[in-house]
Amino acid sequence: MKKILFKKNHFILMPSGILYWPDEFSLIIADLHLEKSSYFAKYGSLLPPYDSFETLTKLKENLLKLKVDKIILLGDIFHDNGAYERLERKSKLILDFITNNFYTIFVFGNHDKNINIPNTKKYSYYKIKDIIFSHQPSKLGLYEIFGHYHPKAYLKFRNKKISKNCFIVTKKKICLPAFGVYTGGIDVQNKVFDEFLESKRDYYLIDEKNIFKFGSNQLQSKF
Amino acid sequence: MKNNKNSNIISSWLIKKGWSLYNHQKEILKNVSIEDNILLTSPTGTGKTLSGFLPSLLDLSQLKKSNKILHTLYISPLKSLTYDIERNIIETLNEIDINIRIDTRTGDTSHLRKKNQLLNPPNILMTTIESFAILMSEKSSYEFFKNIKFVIIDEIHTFLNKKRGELLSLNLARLNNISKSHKKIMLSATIKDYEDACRYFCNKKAFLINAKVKKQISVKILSDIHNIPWTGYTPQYAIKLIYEKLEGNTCIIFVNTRAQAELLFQNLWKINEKKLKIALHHGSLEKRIRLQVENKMANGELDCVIATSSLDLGIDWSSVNLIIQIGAPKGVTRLVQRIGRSNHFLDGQSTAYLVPTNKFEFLECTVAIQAIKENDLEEIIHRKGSIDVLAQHITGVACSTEFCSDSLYSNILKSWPFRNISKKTFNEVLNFLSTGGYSLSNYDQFRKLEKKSNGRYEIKKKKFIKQYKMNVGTIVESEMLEVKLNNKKLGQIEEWFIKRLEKGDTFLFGGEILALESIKMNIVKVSRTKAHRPKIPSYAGGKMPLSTKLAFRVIELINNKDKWKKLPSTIITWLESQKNNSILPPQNGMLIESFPRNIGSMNEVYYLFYTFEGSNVNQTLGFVISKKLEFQGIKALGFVCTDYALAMWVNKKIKNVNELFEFNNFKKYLINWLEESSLFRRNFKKVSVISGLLDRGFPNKKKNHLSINSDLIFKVLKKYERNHILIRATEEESKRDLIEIDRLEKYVLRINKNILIKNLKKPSPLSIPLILQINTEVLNKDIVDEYYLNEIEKKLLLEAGLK
Repeated sequence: MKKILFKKNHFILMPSGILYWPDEFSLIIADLHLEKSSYFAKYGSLLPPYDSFETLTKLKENLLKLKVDKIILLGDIFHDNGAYERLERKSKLILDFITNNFYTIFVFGNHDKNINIPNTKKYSYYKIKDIIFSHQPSKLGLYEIFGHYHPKAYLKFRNKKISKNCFIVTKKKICLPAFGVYTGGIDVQNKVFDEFLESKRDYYLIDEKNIFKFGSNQLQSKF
Repeated sequence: MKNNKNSNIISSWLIKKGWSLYNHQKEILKNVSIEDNILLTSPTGTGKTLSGFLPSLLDLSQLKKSNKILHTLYISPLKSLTYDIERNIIETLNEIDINIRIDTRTGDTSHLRKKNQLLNPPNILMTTIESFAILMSEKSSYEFFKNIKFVIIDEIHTFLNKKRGELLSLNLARLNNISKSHKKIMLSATIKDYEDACRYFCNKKAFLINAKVKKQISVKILSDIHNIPWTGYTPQYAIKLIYEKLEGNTCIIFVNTRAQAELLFQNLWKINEKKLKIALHHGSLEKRIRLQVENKMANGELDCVIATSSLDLGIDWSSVNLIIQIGAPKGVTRLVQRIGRSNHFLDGQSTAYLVPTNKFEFLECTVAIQAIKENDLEEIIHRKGSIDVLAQHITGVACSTEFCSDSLYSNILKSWPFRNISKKTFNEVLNFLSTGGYSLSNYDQFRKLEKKSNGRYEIKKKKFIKQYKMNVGTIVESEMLEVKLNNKKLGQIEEWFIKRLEKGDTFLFGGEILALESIKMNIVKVSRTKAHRPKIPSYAGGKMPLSTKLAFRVIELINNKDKWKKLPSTIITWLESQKNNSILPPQNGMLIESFPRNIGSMNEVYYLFYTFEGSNVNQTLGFVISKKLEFQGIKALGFVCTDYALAMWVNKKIKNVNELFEFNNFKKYLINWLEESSLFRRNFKKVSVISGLLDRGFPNKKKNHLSINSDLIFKVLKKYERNHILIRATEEESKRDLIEIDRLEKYVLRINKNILIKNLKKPSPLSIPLILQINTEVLNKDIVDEYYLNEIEKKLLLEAGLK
């Protein structure tokens, strides 16, 4: 894990993709995309239907290792607006366990704005200590923590390309990696990030067990 | 077929041309009335495709005019071949003067033309294996094929025992149910085992006709013997010699990779003082450009075409009288077939030159020529039918008609590669196609293959039929991006290649040096540049493995000093210096060399294992050794193999090398490794696409949140459904890629007491070609990633003075 200072607050970046805020006993995650498999199934790709269970199990396991009172979900928790209804019983039980035992803030995203998760408070954005928690960032110079983009970084080493999901941290923004097990990513070199991120950025590449820090100049673009 | 009148049509045509029928052609005409299946084999370029058409043309010439029945289906492995054969047949027909409607149907045929063909069938249809599969999936396939009389299958040696062959075999078995009375005529170049080849496509023996045409082939090495490079895959050192041969001849220069083709093309033009007409042909070029080259060659407008395997098959260019093979021939059979491209007039003598591009290849070329003289061809390795191909076939059947599972099963057993498939596996595939085949059965609402109340299966939804047609085929290419120059399409390029480039980098494509401008949505925009040489050369060696037959012959040559006399002095010096600086690899033992190398801040130790057992064995050995090293606390960071040896680099010295070859738990190591390997994940991706779990990635198709990474699926599937049919299919596929596991075991037993370990300070002469080989197989991706990430981070911290 890596500790960072963001607007004078200590945050911890976890290799699982969780952002932990110890002083607030809060855990922040983004982009679970639950039931992506069954969404695909509708279109003829009968993917293994275990992604929701696996993602929620991963969340629960990591959650129980930390001192947590509050969970902030940063949107796209479900892959589509019908996804909550398709969630099978075993997965629903874990979700219920989480929302029953922890104060859960549900900031909705573009994929799941019509979903209401029981036992959670639904917001379009949420604010603590002048830090805004949202699914997508605004372009203004506010302090914001968000998801949505599934950032993924590419490194080249001796002709070998390494790619990992990552956090992007700047002075005023933190972009979280996607947490869902079926979620892909977009290249952090993509121009879209320039619209709301300062040019000085740190990248924290994660791979379940480890987290590594890199600056912009060490990265490659996907192509 | 006892109609002298029509035989007369043919013979009067031949007389007009001043030709007569070859014996094998007479034999076909004689036997076709009594035999259902005929296999005609002959060396390439002996007019065998026309021979295959003779019975069909005779039969057709009897039919009444304006007949709208599909009479003859011609199936070829290559699109370009269908056009070429069409051109030849039309020419012939014009001369014989019978009115027959001919058409082609490939992936390039327009939607409208395809639709018209179904409504208004031609008499002869020329198609490819994949387009035939799609035809069989049409609702009207029964009507379309029920009156068919002849099926001609060309160049069967090129897809026998491959997934394409399996797909064709399944469809032919089904065609037998639709039309009981048709005859199959199979055509093949020289191969080793004919009977199995027949069974593969007809499920029984066929009547064999072997065209005993002796073509004189003279094969020689063409090389500047004083300057043979140590490594690399470019013939630049001999470019003048090659150029000199071109004048006054019509030549095909075969190379093993696209990159070689591009470079050679550019370099020949640089010295083309005589303004010879030299063209380029490879599979990545835009279709329009390829067709132009093919037509020009057919019309005799070119002096030379540089080609990859895109021209391996039987394009009939009678004017070609010279073949030059650049680089290792890889296999005797393949070399014989390539050489056979020259001099399609039977009576002339074919000439061929082999140009080795490095010292190892010189040895290989030397022994290949000897093998041709002894007619020592490779065996075909048999493999059982693949689960993913079966899944694709059943999907196709379900698109065309509703079916009862029992009768489909018994039909599938009639396809030779699938003759032993169990009912259980068949049912699992059905299950997979219906609802995914998972024990968590929540996809009932999304059923793809519907089961009707009468117990029969069917695919009803149009979107799934469309999806099937989009995804047909058994070749999963690495992703291709479209290359565009000012909105003009130039062709396609592999994603892995372009990924390594940055904006402004120059590379060769279509014979031009281009600079990368941008990549957007799978379109690579490029601009012309004045650079004289491309920045990114990309010389990967050919991916095709050397046949072990040649590998064996090479080590025999190395160990037999008497035979060295025939070698040029530079090669002898190379072998001598290996002998002095290390030792020569023994024939019945293994030489292992080790030496340290520093790459940047990283110290690595290289190990070279000279087995001479072929690349498959070396690859497997690499996997097993890296697994064993893990238990010794040593990280294998990567390895490369050639057919001769395995080179592995590790992070510290191996204490006991001998121990690596104690193989009590050999198979356990292999299975352990297999599941974690990148090979397995790559194969999972292929299997997922072929079986229809995932859509193919298409160029031009926008990537968005709807695309999904097969690695992520694999991880989850492995965890929750270890025994899922696709994991089993991947396992079988991976084991096939690592064939000859048993052979490796035997090899290790054989050399066990004869391991020679040589610790060196620097690379030995023999090792140089190997360690420079780019084609790396990365080991367990996670371990290596983590290692490199740690190292990069450490290096950065050091540089920043933080550690």
